[in-house]
Amino acid sequence: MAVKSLDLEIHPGQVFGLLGPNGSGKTTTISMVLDLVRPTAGSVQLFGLPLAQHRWACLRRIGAIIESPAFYPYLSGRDNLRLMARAVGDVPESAVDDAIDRVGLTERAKSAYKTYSLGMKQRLGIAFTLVRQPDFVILDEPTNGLDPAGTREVRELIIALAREGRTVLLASHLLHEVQQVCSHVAILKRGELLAQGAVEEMLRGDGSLLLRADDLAALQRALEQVEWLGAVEQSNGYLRVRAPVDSAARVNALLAERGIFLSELRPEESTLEEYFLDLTEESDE
Amino acid sequence: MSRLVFVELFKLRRRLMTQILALLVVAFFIFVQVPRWHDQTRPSDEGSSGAVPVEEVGPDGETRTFIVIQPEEAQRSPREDAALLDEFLETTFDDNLAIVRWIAVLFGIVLTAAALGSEYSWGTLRPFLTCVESRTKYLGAKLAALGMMIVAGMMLAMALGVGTSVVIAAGDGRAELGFVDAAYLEDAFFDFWRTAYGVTPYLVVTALAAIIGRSALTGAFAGFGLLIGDSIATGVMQGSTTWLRYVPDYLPGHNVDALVGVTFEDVATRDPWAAAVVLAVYAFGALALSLWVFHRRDVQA
Repeated sequence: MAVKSLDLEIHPGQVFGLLGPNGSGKTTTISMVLDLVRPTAGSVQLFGLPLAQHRWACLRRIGAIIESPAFYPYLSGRDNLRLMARAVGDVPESAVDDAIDRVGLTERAKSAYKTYSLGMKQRLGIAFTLVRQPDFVILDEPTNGLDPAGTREVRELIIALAREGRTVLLASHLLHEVQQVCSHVAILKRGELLAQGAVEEMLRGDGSLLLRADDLAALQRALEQVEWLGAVEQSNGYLRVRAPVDSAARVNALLAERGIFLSELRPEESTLEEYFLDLTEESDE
Repeated sequence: MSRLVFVELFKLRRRLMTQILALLVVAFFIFVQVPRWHDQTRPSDEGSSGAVPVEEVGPDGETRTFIVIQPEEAQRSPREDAALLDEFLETTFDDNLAIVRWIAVLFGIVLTAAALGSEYSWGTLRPFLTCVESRTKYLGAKLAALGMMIVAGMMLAMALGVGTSVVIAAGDGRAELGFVDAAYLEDAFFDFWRTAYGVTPYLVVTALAAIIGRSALTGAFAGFGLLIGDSIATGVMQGSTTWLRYVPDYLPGHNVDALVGVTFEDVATRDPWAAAVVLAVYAFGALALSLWVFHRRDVQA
């Protein structure tokens, strides 16, 4: 079974990341949202409507690329988009040109798709999602094949889409990318949901502060004398102390009273990559 | 739906394969008229001399050939020669339609298999299905567009065939079109659409196979397999003296022959209406199955 007991909730305006290693069920999940794959149990609701009963009312408002972009090789990029816009219906001709312009393909819009580089194909795929001016944009690995500048443009585009009030679902295994643009994520592994929530919450860590001072030994002794602080340990030139994340100011004041002046004090945050690896390795055990 | 048919027609029209097939039709139906004209004129040249070779076995058992000069009243008059040549135009519609029938089946199978199979091989089916109201409408529009394109090809072939015949005959000063009256046009109209109807089962079976196999190759294999297998089976079974001789009544080829008025010696003529019903069962059966499979199956890539 590609996906099992998956319960995802995405709210309007969110940039939602769908993370997971290869074969975790990301594309299958997206395919179910797009009615390309039918779930054996359960249902998909989009915009508050059950997809099975309101397929077109839902899909009409979604722009999506799934895995690698696929278009008719003998048609130009522009003709491909015009064709799909015509199939959708009620899409103005100008929307095609706007979408092409937005992804920076205007100069090559009249060239046959088969002559495009991988990066250009990816851009056309993103333009395809924008043509119907969707409320919900689904991007499955949108930066595949893009150079660093192109990757950055896509990142900015995603942020711009969110600012325009569109909801974005971004499936990727590039955790750094996801961390930079997503407000919420869900982590899948072997078709099962391991975690779901706000990125900020996930990266908040386990309630530790990192401290640095000229005399680490004196700092450690001082911290160990404070009853309401937890375990203190050294880590990469810092002292890590278990403490509520909102207690940084109190800790700083307390140490200053004892004549210890800190050169650095910050709550410890993990990266999405660390969080993801911890979670997926835990699930292996 | 009309929007989707337009989209599918656009895709077909812009494909290189469609353009090549159309070019082949144009070239074939222009040049095929030359041997037709040659065949039609040759017997007239021999006949007008009145010399007929006759073989006889003599009392010694040897075979001898005699040239018999026919009496003047039995010879074909110049007027009859002209009438025979005029038949070239009178039969040109039927002759061309008989060729169009086979070309339409062959090219139609190729085009149908490619149109459906390529959507799978290019991966375009997945994004395109997110652009359409329903899978049924999408497949319906695709098949309708294919049907329209193939009928347009048949019309083009007929127009070229008949047009070129008229030009050739006119070049010899014999472009007599006096036989064209309302009854002739009516017959031609129904003959054309009967032929088009006869092509349908092969195309729908091709589409079904391309969908099931998710490839153009499977579709083409099934289409040509039906065409060739049906001809072989019909040929073998019609010679049988058992119940097997009735099996071809339920195969498409024999029914298409009956529908378009082709008859063979030693083969009982079949009721065209019964033939039409059998062909409809093939066409609608394969169509319903295609829609069902396409609607039910997951689209993975």
